[in-house]
Amino acid sequence: MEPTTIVLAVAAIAGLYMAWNIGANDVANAMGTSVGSGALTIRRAIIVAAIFEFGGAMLVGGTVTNTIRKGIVDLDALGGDPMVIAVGMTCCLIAAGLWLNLATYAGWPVSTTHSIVGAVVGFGLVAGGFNAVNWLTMGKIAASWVISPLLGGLLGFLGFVFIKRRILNVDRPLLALRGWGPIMVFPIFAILALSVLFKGLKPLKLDLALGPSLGIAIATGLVASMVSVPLLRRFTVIASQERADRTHRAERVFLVLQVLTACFVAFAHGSNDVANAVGPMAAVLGATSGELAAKVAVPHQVLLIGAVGIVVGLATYGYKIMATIGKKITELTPSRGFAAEFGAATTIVMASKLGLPVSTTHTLVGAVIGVGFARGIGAINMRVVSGIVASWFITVPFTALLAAGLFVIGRLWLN
Amino acid sequence: MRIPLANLLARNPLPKVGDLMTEVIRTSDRVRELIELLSAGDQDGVERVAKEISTLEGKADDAKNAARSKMPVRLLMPVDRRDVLKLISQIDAIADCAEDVGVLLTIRPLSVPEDMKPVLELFVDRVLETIREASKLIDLIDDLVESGFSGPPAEQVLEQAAILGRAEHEADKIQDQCAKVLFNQEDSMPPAALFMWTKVLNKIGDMANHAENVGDQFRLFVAG
Repeated sequence: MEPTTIVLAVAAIAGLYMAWNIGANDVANAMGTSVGSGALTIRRAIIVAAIFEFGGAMLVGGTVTNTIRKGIVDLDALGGDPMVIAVGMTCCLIAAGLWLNLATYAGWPVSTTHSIVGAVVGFGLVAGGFNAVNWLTMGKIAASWVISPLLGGLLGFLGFVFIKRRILNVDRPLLALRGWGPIMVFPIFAILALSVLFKGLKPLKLDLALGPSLGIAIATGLVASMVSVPLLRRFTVIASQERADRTHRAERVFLVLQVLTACFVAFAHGSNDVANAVGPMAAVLGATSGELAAKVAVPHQVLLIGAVGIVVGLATYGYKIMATIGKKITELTPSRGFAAEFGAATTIVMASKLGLPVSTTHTLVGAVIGVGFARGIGAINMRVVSGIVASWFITVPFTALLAAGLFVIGRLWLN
Repeated sequence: MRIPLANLLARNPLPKVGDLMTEVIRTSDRVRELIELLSAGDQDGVERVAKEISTLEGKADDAKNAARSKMPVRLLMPVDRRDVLKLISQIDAIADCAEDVGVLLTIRPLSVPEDMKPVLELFVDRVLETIREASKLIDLIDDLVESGFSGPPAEQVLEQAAILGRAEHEADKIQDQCAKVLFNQEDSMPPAALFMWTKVLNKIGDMANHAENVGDQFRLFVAG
């Protein structure tokens, strides 16, 4: 068999494995808050995730994919041999996949994003030396890992404080919801539209500049909030004189709004994390087809493979994790889940647009802590938080070493 | 399984306080029976009930330890950890005082002067009522956490704390009355009995004081 065929086959399998892993575990984390609060049943969560992960991956996913494929490692510094890149990227996928599998088994809160970024850095160091790694990009990525949970936390905090002050704790929460509901719907749709439109529709040759996309995004948001006015009116029929009942009903309305943020989160996750599996696969495909130098866009079929892998992972194994998570996250009421999901999704979509691969789970954890700081959550286990911070310092070096080791073996086989 | 989000949310440590309050009420309610037996002059009965109160107090201690140990150090909570611990010790102190009342009454058998009987029973009733008002605050915890410690449940807590404060004040007034009746008898009563009575009345009054402190602790939760 041709070495090219072997590498392609192994890369495809490793990529699918990685995507399956992302689907099984990461997506379950992303959708868990909605399942836990009861906004979505497990079945519906999977359907929502499937549709919006797909959309996010296909429409916005390209930027992050490019960063992982070309931004971290300077491909020119690796010499002219495309096979080196093909083998190396395959090793990255295997290393990241193995590490994730180990972490999943041991219950460590590591990130798929961090794993693949670490692996690519390890490969770059061995293949091209210190200068092959684009340390400026790497620095930006590393900074985004700290900033994204903080930003998610800040947005979650502000979101919940706002909901608490303006809706839940006023005399007539349902009436307040009628007024504020459409205003809360606006940013969700506007940000979604902006992320899709602003240089996001390359495949459809429709990418717009900031100005027009901003205009269309605002229009989309306005239309969505207008549509939400009669819908919210229907959901906020005041049925009871009891104040406690009314607050309870307001929470029920948040269940409906949370379905929106759940879609938002799935979209954000698709836009950011599908690239973890797809980026290296695209690099392998590009290298083996001899188009290393040419600036080809990420092939659509490869994005498709990644998206399919994620959905399959979600449907086959994510189901189980989702059931566990749904039972464990009951403390999160719909209004809190809404605030957390909105903060996290906004942060992730923004990072994706900047081409920064951030960790969805860590950002969501940051957002939940933000809600906790707004006195929204009974108790947050800080041990988990320190575990997450520790995993930043372990995951990257480990996958880097593993990918480097695998690549050394792969290079021997190549020669 | 790698589910950081699920592990992130710890159980709210406050609901355990409800179990503790239940045990404390069970303990303190027996003080009424104790005083009735004392009024009836049934010293054997007093000894028996005092022993039972002591057993119940042990159970309350278990509930207290459970509440404390279920509060790991590394939790981010909407209320200060130390405030929760203070709340727990204030609730537990109610049961401790109830036990002390029983112990005092077994150290030196006391007889209740006829004039004092109705006032004493009224006093105990008022103290127990204060404790029940305090337990209503504990019932509000879930709503309080649910609302992020603000809004209607927070107002409700402040109202209830005010009711609790008034109940304690009433108990105080009856205690003074009780002491007055007691010292009317000072010529006909052995000094040792007088001394013990003062202690007993103070201990019963302390039960209400600790109940009131529960209210203050809740005020801190809402304010912080």
